Amino acid sequence: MRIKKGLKTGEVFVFLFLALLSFVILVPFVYLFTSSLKTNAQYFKIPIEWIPSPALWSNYYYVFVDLKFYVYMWNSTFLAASSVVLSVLSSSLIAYGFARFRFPYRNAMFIVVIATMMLPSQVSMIPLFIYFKSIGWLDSYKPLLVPQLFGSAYLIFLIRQFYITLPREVDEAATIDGCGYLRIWWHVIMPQAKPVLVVSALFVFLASWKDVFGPLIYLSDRSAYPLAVGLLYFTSPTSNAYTLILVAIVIALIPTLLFFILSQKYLNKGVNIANLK
Amino acid sequence: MGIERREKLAGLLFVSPWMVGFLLFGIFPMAVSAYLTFVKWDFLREPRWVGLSNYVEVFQSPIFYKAMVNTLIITFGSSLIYLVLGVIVAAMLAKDYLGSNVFRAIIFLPSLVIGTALAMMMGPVFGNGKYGLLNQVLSMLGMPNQSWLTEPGQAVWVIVGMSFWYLGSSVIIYLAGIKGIDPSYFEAAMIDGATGLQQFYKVTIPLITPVLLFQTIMGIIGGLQVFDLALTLSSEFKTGGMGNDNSLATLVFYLYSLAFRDYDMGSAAVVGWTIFIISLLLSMVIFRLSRRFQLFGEEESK
Repeated sequence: MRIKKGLKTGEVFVFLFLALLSFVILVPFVYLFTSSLKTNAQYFKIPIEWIPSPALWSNYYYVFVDLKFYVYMWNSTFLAASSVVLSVLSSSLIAYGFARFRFPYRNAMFIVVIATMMLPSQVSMIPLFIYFKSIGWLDSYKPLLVPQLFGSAYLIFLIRQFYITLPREVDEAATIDGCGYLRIWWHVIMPQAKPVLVVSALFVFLASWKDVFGPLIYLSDRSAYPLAVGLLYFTSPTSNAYTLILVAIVIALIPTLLFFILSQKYLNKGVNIANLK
Repeated sequence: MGIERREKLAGLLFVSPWMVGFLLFGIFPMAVSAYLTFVKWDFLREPRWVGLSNYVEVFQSPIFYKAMVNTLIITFGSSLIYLVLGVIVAAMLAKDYLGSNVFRAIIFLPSLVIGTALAMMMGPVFGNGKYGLLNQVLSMLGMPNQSWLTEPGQAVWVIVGMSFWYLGSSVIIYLAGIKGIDPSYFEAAMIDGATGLQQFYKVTIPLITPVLLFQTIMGIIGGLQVFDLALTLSSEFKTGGMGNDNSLATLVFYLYSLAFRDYDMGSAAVVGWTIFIISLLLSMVIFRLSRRFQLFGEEESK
């Protein structure tokens, strides 16, 4: 009886704690959203109008279409989607090599893969910039996309850990049937690895979607900017329309929400894989 | 050709893209970066050998120390929040009860938000004077208004505070770790009469130490590279500043500023190497510490 009662007060405490945390996290989002529907005059009114009347939904159309915010959205989507395809495919192939084949210095190399995962990229940023500049790749997406062809250490690690848990018998049966290594990778390994591939895709997508440093130094044409950088330079056409910037921020948040809903199914499964180590 | 030889060749062929990438985008740039620390170069003239003077310049610059202190405050502040609060929240979310799915979504969602968007969203919250949301809360409580972002020394804590909104990325990893624990451990503890709190630090914590270790190292490395939040919060960034009195300078921001505003590639490379060395040192310290505290770890992680 006593234990049960103790548990109950504990649960109430946990509930209140989580509710408070969620409240604090949500307030800025709610404030942002309601403010985005206001005129400047409404925005600077004190006390705050939490439900704006009238609500200016037209702000959204204006920013997205008239101020061409959709261009940034498209750029981000293109960059992130291309990164996902390039990085996941190459990392998966490299991981296959590490997981299924014996060759000299394999373990030493894999340790180097893990080590590079923990090192900050800034140390090589400047030389890479100079390098890409000298071969005329500035102001194109090449510096952001071409390196993805060579796999990412984090993904190689993640995918390899998953591949070694897959039964070898299926591979061997396929070999006997006359399948080459590449066909085994594509037809046998890849279909079994769907959860880890989806999680990898999610990581690459997010990393590309959130990247600021790369686009900032490699791109100078504003119409080529992705969302994360375009938002920084987004200014309203008239000085008394500050709320339009808030609209831009909300628009930048929407794909995140869609992405979250789409990935829900795989997320719990996938993150468990991340911890197999 | 023997099957073993074939296997060897195929394996090397499959990992070769990584080897090429490692040489092209890892080893080679690092070597160039080491060379750059000894030259002055602004793209316009030929690189000029200057010996150690880039090091002297950077290490004597007060901005460098400000950036270093700010970066360390952000790194340790946010890592502490991720570690302590992250584990507690994850343990709370691990049990299913009223609303736990909703809480999970609310806590996880903001970690997907673009850094620049998050920082811009926080602009009105930490706004100066009576228009800031937080200041309005303070005046309701009868406390004086603060200049969160412009008061030197305060802005960096705003960035630490923002890590609450990125808590979800750690929580989701810890949550998976906790869910992976064999439930029989908890049942045994309950039969022995352990309370929820005792289960937390006698069962949960020891069993997820490897996950804590990995996530903390990744968090620290991420913290050391903080850039987009600082850049966005310093509204002067378009004109070349790093916040009022450089109060928002971080190491990566400083590197960016040296390389792409002052066109001083050599000094920027020195800062790059500093970030590299600090990451390496901190990772090593954590490994050492964890070996002392780790209770299960090794047997668990196969």
